[in-house]
Amino acid sequence: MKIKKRNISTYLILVIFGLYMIFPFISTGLYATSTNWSNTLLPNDFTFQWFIELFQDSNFISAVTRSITLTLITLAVVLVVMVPTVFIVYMYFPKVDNFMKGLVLMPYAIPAVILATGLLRMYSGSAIPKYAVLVGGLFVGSLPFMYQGVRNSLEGIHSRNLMQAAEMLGASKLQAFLKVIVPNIKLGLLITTLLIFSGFFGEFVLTNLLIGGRYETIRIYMMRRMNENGHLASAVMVAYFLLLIVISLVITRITSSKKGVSNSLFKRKKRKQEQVIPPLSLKQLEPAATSEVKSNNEKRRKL
Amino acid sequence: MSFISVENLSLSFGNHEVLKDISFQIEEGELITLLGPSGCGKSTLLRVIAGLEVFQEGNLFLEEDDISNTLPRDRNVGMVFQNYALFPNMTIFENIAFGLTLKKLPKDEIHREVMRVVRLVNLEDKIDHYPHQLSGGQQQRTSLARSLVTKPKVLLLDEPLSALDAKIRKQLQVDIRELQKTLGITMIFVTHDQEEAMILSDRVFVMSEGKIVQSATPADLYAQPKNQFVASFIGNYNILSTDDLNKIDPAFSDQSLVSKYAIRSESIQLAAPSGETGIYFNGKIENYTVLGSTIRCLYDVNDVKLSVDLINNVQNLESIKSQTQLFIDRNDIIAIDQ
Ligand SMILES: Nc1ncnc2c1ncn2[C@@H]1O[C@H](COP(=O)(O)OP(=O)(O)OP(=O)(O)O)[C@@H](O)[C@H]1O
Ligand SMILES: [Mg+2]
Repeated sequence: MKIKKRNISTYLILVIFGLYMIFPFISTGLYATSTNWSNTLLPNDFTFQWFIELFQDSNFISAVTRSITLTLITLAVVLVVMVPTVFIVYMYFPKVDNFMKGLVLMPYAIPAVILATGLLRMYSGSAIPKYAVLVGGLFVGSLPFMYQGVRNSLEGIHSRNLMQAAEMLGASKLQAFLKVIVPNIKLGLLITTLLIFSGFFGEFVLTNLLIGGRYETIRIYMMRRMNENGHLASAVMVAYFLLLIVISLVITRITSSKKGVSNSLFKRKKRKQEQVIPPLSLKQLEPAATSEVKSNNEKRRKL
Repeated sequence: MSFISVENLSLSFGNHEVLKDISFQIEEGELITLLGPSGCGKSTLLRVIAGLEVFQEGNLFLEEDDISNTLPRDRNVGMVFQNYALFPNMTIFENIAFGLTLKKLPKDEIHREVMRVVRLVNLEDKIDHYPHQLSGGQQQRTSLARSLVTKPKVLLLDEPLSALDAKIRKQLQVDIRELQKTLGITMIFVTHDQEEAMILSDRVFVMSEGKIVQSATPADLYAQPKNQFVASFIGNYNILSTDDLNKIDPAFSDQSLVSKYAIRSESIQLAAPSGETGIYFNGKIENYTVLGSTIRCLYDVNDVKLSVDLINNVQNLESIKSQTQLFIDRNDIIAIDQ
């Protein structure tokens, strides 16, 4: 009895929480699919008009393109610079690593507005294009995720040990990094990357202050259209939300089915290997092999 | 010159001196174990030979070549790690083939060589598996095969069996020794388990606080531990002073100036009725524990505590309760350094 009671109240709390979370989304969705919703409980009509308008607006399309371009460029810079850096620091400068762990949290302490103002003051007169300054600013903003993400991946696979094992087998540091470390942290990297992707994609303050006037990204576009037409802005919001949900789903999918990933990898590789070297023909090549398997004589064969 | 030669080697981490003026020689085909308590520098010494640790003083030769400044990958030394360190993204086959692929050998040659060692370690049916699909013992055999396939001059093993359960450990000890003998490969094996060291080695190097305190064959080590540390580390010895021995046998005297003696627990017997030459004395049993094939007894002899191991048989079990006379052969009293 007691258990049941607790169950009911647990569910009740969950349902209330769920409604609280989902209500704004539903009403935004309703607003985005109506033309008139003022004095009634529910909207008077239903239409995809705003979505159609949105997707026909070349400004929207180019805003999305710009956001994606900006995000991808920044991501590329972050990955190319940070992965080897974190790797080297983690592996060979453990003292610096301790310092870095604290340092990379700094972006949390500095509000984006202040960061943007500082960057503007610093670079407004310089020859460095604002776009590059923005990429740099976003880069700094991604540090907490990126540093910890890569670092945890490295720690999780005992990378110091793997590196040494690879080196003892004749690999150079670069070979060991590319052939052993990178393939094993790929999954962690992918997740970190997706997290940062959604962060960059929705970034507003820095982008707006630094290059917003000339370079309208999706969030700036949203801001502008909001003042013109609430329904349309809601439609943008819904589209944007759906994209983020897709990204989150991908992340959860990857994290929760770790085994699945390695299993499918396993199957793929196995098939590949069977094609290259069918196991049966092997044994035919070396006729003594099967009978030798368990005999001790076989062990006596010198390497 | 010996196959491996270490001369006056010292290493410090910061101002913590971990290896202190170590010298030794190893012949080709020997299996040496480094035995010692945790933190005495066994792994560090092994990693120095591997090239993974830089030492400050001394010389290190492999087959007459000074390898002090050679990169790990150019030393032609193999290493097996305690936690296996298999590459999780590769199959067992790919793991073992790793060293050969780096050498860019032809595919069929790689395949032949890999299959040869795979058979040596009995992993034929696992080559398509991934490391996480294997048991600990199988993973360690993979790791062994992965090193052996590159035909290293020396194979270094850092407590390779300590993560495995007792039964598999015993089996692998035998397997490793057999492999080592048939392949004639030189091995240095780190362990803190004295029994493992005894089973495996041609010679045991006992280490303490960054020094090698004794290097000897297992039999010699057991028969003649050099000092109190070795005696207490490798077996169940009673360590007694001259005073203690005088309490047991007032007639005991020794011309040499040693101050400590080691007596193996199993060399003390319940007094035999026949008159053998040795020391006879009376003891009072304080307690005893049955350890399977032996009974470990604690006797009090005029306030000196003596640990005595007796064969576990009906006669002894009966005698413990009644008999009080004990016997030590003079030859079993070993003079040791402090
Ligand atoms: N990279 C390092 N930096 C500083 N000190 C170290 C380092 N590696 C080892 N030490 C120190 O050197 C000493 C010897 O360590 P080592 O790992 O060789 O011991 P060990 O005999 O292998 O012990 P165990 O049986 O526990 O593995 C220890 O006191 C350890 O703290
Ligand atoms: Mg160690």
